[in-house]
Amino acid sequence: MLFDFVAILRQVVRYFVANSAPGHLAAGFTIGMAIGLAPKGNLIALSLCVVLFSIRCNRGLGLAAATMFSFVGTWTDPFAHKLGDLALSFEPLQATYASVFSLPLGPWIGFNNTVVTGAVLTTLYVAYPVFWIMRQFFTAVESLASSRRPGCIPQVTLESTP
Amino acid sequence: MSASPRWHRIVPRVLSVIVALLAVQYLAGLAVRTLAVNYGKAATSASVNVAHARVSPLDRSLVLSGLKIADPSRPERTLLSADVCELPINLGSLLHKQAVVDRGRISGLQVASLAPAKNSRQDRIRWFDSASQQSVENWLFRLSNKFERTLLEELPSVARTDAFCKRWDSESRSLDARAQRLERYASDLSETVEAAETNPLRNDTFFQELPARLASLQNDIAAFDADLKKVSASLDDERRAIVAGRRDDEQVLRDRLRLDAIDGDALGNYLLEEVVGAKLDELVGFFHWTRQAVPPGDVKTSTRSRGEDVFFAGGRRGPGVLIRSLRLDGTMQIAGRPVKFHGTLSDLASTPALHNGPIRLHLSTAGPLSMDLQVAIDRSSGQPREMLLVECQRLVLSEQSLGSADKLQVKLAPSIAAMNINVLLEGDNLSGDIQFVQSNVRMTPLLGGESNSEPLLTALFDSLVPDKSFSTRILLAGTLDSPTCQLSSNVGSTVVDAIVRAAGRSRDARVAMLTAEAGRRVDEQLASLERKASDQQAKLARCTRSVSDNLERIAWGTSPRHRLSSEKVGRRLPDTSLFR
Repeated sequence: MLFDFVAILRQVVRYFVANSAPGHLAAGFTIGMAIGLAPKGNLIALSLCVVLFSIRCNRGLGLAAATMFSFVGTWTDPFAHKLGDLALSFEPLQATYASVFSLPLGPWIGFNNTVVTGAVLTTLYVAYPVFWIMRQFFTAVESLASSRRPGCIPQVTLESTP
Repeated sequence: MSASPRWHRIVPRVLSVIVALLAVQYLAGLAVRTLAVNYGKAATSASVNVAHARVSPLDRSLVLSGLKIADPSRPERTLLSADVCELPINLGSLLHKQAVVDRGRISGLQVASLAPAKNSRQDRIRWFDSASQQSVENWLFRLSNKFERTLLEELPSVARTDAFCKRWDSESRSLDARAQRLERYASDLSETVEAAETNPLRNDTFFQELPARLASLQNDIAAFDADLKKVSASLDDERRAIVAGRRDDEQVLRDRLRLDAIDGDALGNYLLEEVVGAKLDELVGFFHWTRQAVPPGDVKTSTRSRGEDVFFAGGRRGPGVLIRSLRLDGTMQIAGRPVKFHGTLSDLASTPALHNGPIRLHLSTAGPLSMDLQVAIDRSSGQPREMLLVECQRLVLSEQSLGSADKLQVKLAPSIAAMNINVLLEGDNLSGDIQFVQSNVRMTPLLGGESNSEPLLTALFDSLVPDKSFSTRILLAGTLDSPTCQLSSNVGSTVVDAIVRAAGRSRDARVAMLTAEAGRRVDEQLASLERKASDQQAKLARCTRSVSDNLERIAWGTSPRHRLSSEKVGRRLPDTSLFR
């Protein structure tokens, strides 16, 4: 039973990481995290989706991360709300916010929502650390996978090289 | 190389695109239908049904067909229905997350009522003072009682005659008894005298007392004669007094049948209470409904499931859905008749507080029933404000009944009326002026229940001015939860005047009838009494004469009686006497 589960997990991990460099995987995970944390139904979430499907990254891992972080999002919402409220209440930027909001498609951006703004700011803050950590992680995983593969020379990719 | 297009590749792709577009259109229609139903339910708190919804990308419009809105309090009743609702969307507004309809159109609109039916469980508003209503009911009761009561016995001449007849009867019986007693006494005395005469010696004492007895009896007869004459004289005196008392009969009757004064406004309130109260309830219900459908208050920051939407100072902020102008065509029920109308609904916003103008509805009807209706619902300022203006110069009214059938009811024949309603609800303060003028109305009064006195009713019919114009004015005040009204109408004063005139006529006729009847009755009673008196006098005179004769006979037959001497008593005839 346990072996079956492990086998399935290995297949899923292999599907996600196969033929992808650690950098692609990390980028997909990071974008997926941003999509998952932010509320949907606005142009920011839509733009992140477009980015996910546009750049060279692992889309499967991105979608999985988005799904996973959608559940995590309910825990981070109070923090995102406070942060977004703080940012949107910043007095010197009120005129800018108002002018952006008045632009065509301005209301669709959804930045006037406290959780959206808080989630975006949080994502921007943690994006590179997450990307870096995840790249290190996937590099380690790939090295481990290559070393355990019998008769196989570890594949050295351009992204994994320092 | 062939330059011909690769149709086997192009055609399937074009068809796929067309199918995809049609699918999108179909799905968009379903989405719009769901949105319309949900939005309608939220706005009206009633069941909303849309038979079909279509999104037309070429016309950039939404078309809703078979729209039905049920009455929230009576879901089985359709409050409003429309055949087609065309809403061309301004695409530019969509960029600002708004759906703006500049010029929409609803055709085949059928409006059952401007406001939902009031729930029967809700308490009715007491528009009129119950004490005033009670005083009118008491007045009507007294009115009916005045003409229902038999006043004949209360007339002085009749009462005096009745009393005299009773007194005379008792006196007559007393005289009869006395006469019988005298007669019996005289008869007994005569028999006693006859018996005593058979043995005078033994009844010597009796014979000695007999003259005194006879004298006493004579005195009794004389007294009896005197009383008899007195009774006869009293009959004449009483007749004169009764004849004199007849002059008071008329005044007494007039006093008894005099009608109390009543305020015309109080009677007007009594008559119009039911009709006006129902209409005012409907009017107040309409304002309650507008407050419920378009709730007042500041726009709260919309709280979504995640976070809050912040609106920036100076930023553009508008309602999600805004219908700038919606042309309306359809029929509505006015005074129980379907009337075609056309009009405009403008500045209808999903969040009226975010729009800088009031929601306005302007409906006009054409043809014989010309009416102009304007409604404004303003939520743009802090204080909610509603205004209702109705102007109708020719409202065809069917037959109406005012008042209650068991007391006093006034039936108004079908007529033409002019109506003007101007009501303003500002905050909670209600103010308004409603004027209603009915011209050339034929009025039919009905006195119901036990008070249906035929002469009074006939007089009432004669007293009412035919084809009179009535005007009613209602001033509204108070608050929405406890409104008050002041009603002034000439319906009440007209009916009061008519009733007073009718009561006057009826009183005159009744006074004449009762005085004549009283005179006839008194005359009959007196004539009968006279006959009885003369008969009795004759009888009693005969009786006294016979008694007197009897006494005379006794007196002559027994007089003079002396004490018998021994010679008379004891002398015996000699034996040799020739007579022995």
